[in-house]
Amino acid sequence: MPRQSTGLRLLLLLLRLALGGLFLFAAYSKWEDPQKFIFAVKGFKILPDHLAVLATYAVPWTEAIASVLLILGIWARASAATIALMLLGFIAGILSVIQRGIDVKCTCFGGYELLCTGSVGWCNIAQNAVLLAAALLIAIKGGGLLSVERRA
Amino acid sequence: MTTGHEATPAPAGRSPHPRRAGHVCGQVLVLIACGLLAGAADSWLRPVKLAATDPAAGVIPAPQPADPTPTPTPAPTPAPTPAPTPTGVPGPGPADSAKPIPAQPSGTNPPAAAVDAPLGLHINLAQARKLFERGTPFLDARTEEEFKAGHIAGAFHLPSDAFDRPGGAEALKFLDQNAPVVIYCGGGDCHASEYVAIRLEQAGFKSYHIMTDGFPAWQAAGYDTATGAQ
Repeated sequence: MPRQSTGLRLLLLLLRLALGGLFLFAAYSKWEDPQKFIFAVKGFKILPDHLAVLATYAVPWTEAIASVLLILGIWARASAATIALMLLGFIAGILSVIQRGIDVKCTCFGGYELLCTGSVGWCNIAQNAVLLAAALLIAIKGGGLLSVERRA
Repeated sequence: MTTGHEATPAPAGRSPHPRRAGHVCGQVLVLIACGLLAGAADSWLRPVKLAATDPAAGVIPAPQPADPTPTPTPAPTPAPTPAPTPTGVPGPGPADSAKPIPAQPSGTNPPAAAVDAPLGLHINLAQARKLFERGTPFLDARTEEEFKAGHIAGAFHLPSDAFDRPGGAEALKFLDQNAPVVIYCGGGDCHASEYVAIRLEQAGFKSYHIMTDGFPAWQAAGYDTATGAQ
């Protein structure tokens, strides 16, 4: 297997830090007010109540664990893959909302709005697609510089 | 510390990728399991409410008759009292003070037995109308654009996200926590009213009702509405 170039390893490190930092912020903004987040989850009208409660707590914690590991470079591939799986779920949920014409706010970052404002729509899809591409790149190529990977 | 792409040589004739992929999948499952466990513990420590608690004593206060019939009891008959000032009517608020609640139309008082019936968390259009005639404050949980386009006359604008902004729930300062309030949104299965009801409950309000029919039904019934900001 050819050795990765320093440029690619540096890029992977930067992506790791950016993605990890963003998801750590997203996790905290959801975690700090579960009452608000569960109404956002219910607003999507996808999950029954008991699964909405599960998602309300499990999503921010999974995001937090994966993002911390991603920043530290531990289990970088698995952390990125976990985030990628979550992003796929978010994209599917948003597509479902768009298809059903439901007017709901994303609450992707709790009460904060970064790139996309207002109700969920194609902006959120594009945003998540970019994040998904970054997560998949790390999951496939590894954590790059300053990452600790168990030799498989 | 490695670059992450290094792998021990696989046995001859076998690619290292399936083994590594399986290893990563195992780690992903561990991460998800950790998230679920941490979330479960968190849910035990900080439970959320899926719906507001049904207020225990939500009774529409019956108005005092202007000319009460003397009772046959020997107890001293109280002096006739004017119709009570509606409880919970906002004080000199910055916005709604300029919006007098419409006067109660004559001849619309329902029988005392009907108005004294306990109200649950969810009320219908007719019950909401009776509370409106008593001067009960109404809270509009919809978006600012929807509120400006049309709302129940005299209603406060208290969207669900107001509680997340500093000073966003200013309207609460002008409400009596012990008096009933009515919350509404777009009707149907909108969740904004439920969310506001939970926040009111957490703020110490004792009697709050959700008009499930929402503003569209109120407007369709031809009841009092207003447009513009507060």
